[in-house]
Amino acid sequence: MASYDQWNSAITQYVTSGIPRGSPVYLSIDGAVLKEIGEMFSLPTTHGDEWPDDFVESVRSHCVVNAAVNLGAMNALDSGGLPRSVGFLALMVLSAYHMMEEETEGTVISEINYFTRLNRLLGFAVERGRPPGLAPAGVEEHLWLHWNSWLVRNGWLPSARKGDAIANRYVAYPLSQSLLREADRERLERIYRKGSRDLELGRDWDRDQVFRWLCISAGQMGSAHLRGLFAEADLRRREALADAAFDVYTAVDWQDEGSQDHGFRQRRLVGGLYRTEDPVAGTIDYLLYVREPRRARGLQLTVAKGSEACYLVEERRGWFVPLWAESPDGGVRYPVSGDPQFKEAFLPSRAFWVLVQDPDSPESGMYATWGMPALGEAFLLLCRAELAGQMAILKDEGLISWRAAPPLRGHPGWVEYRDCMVLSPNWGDLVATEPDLVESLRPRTTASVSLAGGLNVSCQGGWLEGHCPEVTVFTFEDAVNLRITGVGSEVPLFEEEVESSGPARMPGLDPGHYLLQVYARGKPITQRILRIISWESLQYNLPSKRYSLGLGNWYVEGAMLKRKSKEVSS
Amino acid sequence: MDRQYLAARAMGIPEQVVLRVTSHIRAERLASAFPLLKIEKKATRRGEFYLFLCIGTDEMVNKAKSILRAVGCTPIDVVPEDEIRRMVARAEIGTYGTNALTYRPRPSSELEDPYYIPDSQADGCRSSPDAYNRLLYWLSATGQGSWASFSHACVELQLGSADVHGLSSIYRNMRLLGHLECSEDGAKWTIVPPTEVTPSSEGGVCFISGARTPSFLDWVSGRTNVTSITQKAGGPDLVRLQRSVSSPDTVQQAGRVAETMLGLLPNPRSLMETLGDAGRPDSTRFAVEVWDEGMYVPCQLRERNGRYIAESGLYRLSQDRHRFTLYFDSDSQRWLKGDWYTLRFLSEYTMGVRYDAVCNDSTSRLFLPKQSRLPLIYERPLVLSSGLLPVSVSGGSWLCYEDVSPELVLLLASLLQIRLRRQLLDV
Repeated sequence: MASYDQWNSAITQYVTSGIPRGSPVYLSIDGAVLKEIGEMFSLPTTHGDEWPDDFVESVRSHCVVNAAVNLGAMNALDSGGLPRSVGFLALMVLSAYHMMEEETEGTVISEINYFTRLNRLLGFAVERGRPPGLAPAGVEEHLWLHWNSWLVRNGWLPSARKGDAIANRYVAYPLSQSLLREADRERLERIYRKGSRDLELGRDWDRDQVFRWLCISAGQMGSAHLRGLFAEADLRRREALADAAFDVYTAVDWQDEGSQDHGFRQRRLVGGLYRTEDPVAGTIDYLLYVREPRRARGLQLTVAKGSEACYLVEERRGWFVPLWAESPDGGVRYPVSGDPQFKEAFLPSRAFWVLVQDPDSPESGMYATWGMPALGEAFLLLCRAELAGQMAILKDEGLISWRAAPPLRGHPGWVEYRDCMVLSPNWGDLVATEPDLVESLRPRTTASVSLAGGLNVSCQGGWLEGHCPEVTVFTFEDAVNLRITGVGSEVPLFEEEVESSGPARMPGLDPGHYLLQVYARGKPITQRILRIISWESLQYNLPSKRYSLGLGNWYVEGAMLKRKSKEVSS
Repeated sequence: MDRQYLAARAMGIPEQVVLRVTSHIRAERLASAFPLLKIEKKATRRGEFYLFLCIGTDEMVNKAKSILRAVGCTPIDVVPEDEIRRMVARAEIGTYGTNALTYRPRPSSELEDPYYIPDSQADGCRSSPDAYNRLLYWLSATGQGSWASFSHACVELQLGSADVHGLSSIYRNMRLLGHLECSEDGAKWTIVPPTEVTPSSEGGVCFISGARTPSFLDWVSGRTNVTSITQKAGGPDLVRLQRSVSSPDTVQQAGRVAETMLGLLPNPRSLMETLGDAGRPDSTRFAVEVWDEGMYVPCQLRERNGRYIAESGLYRLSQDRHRFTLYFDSDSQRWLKGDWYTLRFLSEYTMGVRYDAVCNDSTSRLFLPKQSRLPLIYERPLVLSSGLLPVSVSGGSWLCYEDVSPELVLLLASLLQIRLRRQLLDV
């Protein structure tokens, strides 16, 4: 059976795998996820594939001492630098899932109900009240805060938070981590199949299309719980839900209507577009850019186009190296081999694509479907010419602007709107002739923090000391405050009212991790992590694929001569 | 929702009036109360036009009136949105959010061609030596990137001051020193792993090429004595080691590589094979110049039956602010891109031009006329023989390469048919 430390490490790697820096991480752990982790990390098991039972047993064996929870066993970092509390926190989230599975619709979530499940998981005979060792209320909070700090120090945003009300204040931490329950996933699959039969839902849609459809259809969902999920107001949680819901969508086997086997699921890999430009030839191409799901990390996958097969190699966290040129029309599929989990890669059929600047290198001029633009960020909209009318309306209404919109040689019927920027929040009364396009472009936030310029070391998640970025807050609010604190500190290093769209007057920052928060009317509306790296702490980073000059049977890389079959030294 | 607007008459230039109104509203933190402003885009001959300020609630009408009066407008009446069209007839209406962001397109970049070197053949800007060291630290920590990210880092470190030509020279110097390699089109680069190189001179104190960071240098210093020598021609310090660190897992061993490398290089007739294809330029899009006797001369680029009608040579293609230098081979009809000095060399070599060089065996120095700077693949062994970039001497008309062994000189002269003069004095 895998040890607690093995589970601790595997869970940490699983929940952070494929998550881009600056995005929130959810410790969303239920039985199905534990099975997946067990398989993915080949964790030894004594009960066949009963990894969830093994996990519970391992947590009990490590964290329960003398019939009480031993919080001291989880305070430190393990030998790999990971917080040792993750396994126990995952058990707390699992308890939240068990509670929600067993609740009927409309039951009030209470600390009593929650701790009943937790006691059961920890093997305590006492059912009511906090488990022994977890009293008084809040005594475990430091474990959540430590986890949050670790995430920030490693470039991710924390998502676990305390409740506002006194009741459920600390139960809110594990509850905030739960996204889709197993029952939700099963229900969603039924909803997808029905939607497809009713011709309301396509089978080759992308994540945004699927989530928009779910939000529109939420009112017809039988489950109040699901309706509530898709009415989520918090933007980051919405994005995480969209990912989780899309995960279920890509696993639907449309060919097998009667499939009830949810233990093993084949999935489809989804593609986006990666724009390349040849300034000499004057051509623009859009390459198939396949997303790398967390389950695919470390696998040797190939995708075939005709008689040619290409390896899917990681280009960056969450994405494979761009493949071949495609028409923006999309609607194509290619077989994938190398692992039975993945059967094909597809490029959704779309009438428009939103391409954003490279988040790792905004000055590079590269655009791809990395995500939606932040407020104030210029993006590129590639769309069918038929949508020009809607775009003109948006511009006339002062909602959006762009620099140029040339038709594209080599892609008849498509137009690129360059340097697009959403300008206004006043989309409410717009009558949309192209609702998908409008919903996609409508801003979801009222503020964002932009970090630009300076000397960024993206692979180490920060900026070099003495070369900090320019911080700009873009907001529709009348007045906002920018607050900068060191991670783990409550004392602000900087707190001032700032103008929208103008650079903030920043203090010099020493090496460390900082949280930049924007407040409006006393409430935080957005936040961003900023890491300042000292020169002395820099480590060099060697990419696995590097350029060299080929000379017959040799190649030259810098001062090194290497024979194409073996190295040489003179 | 039926929006209500306070209609007003305004005078002047509509866009300027919009700015005054929105500034006033923002200054009073009232954007949520007055979210939208609509105006007639064109004033009449007398400079008059209608303006409509959206009012969030009835209670704000008086406030709206006072704002408009404060900026010189004359309030008329509160009207519903569909009344606006009736009042302005066929005039074009502009809509502005009072809480809207200011539109800021990305500044267009001049940093197009990483191989572009101007007529003046700049050496690269002379900046603080420490700035070059920091550039290499940043390159090493980042590991890979684009020409644009390289240029941005140079500007941030005040190397080149956004002079794109100086930046191309720095990019080239990094490759000469063996710190970087780049893609065929120069658009992307990767760092080279740390490498120990033995110079050509006898009694070889080796030096480090490739990735380095302050912590790496500390590690090296813990294993052997280290001497840092400032590059006179602008580049990261030459880091000399008293002896090898003997840690092949961390530092790869290139050995005395200059002569071996030169021995593997193609002769000039095969040099084209080391260059990348640039595709087929549209002859109608570019202004075209050809390199002729040391300068660019305008010319026509014609196509007939899918073939370019032009002599082989170095061409400069310009369109607006974009410039590319390419080599055209008329036999294969290929346009090739690469290091500018390589393209220039190809162009001159095919015309029968041969280069001169002077070598001083007593000082192991090789001198090449600056006008005859060699292609990068031939110049790199000269630099790696000492780890030092060539320095301009004799009023800037010659480049001096240090520590070039007699064997290396002979190899070079033979390979490139260089006319070599030996003398006991430097030029």
